[in-house]
Amino acid sequence: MNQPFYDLTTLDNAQTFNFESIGKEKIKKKILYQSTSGENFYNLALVDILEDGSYDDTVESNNGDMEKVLATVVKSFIYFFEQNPEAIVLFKGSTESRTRLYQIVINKELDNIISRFTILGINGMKFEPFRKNKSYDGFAIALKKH
Amino acid sequence: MVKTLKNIKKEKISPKLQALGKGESGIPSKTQKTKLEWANDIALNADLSQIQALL
Repeated sequence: MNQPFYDLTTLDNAQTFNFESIGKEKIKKKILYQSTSGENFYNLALVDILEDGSYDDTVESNNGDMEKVLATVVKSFIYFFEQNPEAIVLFKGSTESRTRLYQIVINKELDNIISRFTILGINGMKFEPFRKNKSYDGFAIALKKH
Repeated sequence: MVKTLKNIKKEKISPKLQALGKGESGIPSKTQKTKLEWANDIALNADLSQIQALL
């Protein structure tokens, strides 16, 4: 992904990144790689930080910088996997339409990221290599092993 | 401002908060919790050998 991206601030172990989306307005955002019950499995969340400090991953910011925000998330992959090379990161949208948006972005960027990462599609408990034009419940990304 | 990853600054946060995915106020959103539940379900019940074979 050769898109411009935002300056990222990371926390210990590269599991949390902060950045500021600057479009029509300035919006504080956080990328979270949350530990799960399974070893090496993480949940990826992209949230807005609200004034009271709570998170919201449902708001449609419409800040005019979606591609730059998503490029920033992709950059966080690189740093996260440098620190956590065995990780398997699971992600889905907060709504079906947002999951479809992620699918469109993966479709578009697949050729650029596939040399470094493996992208899997998830339906139910079944994983398969990501296929363009197929709908999935969610996705998994991991460093390519071979 | 566009920057390279080499310039990323590091901050401190408690590992406990990171594990919980909580922020300054410690209040995750409802869908964030739901997605985490989905990820937990996958992490606990998916066939790891099948996943490893795909990586």
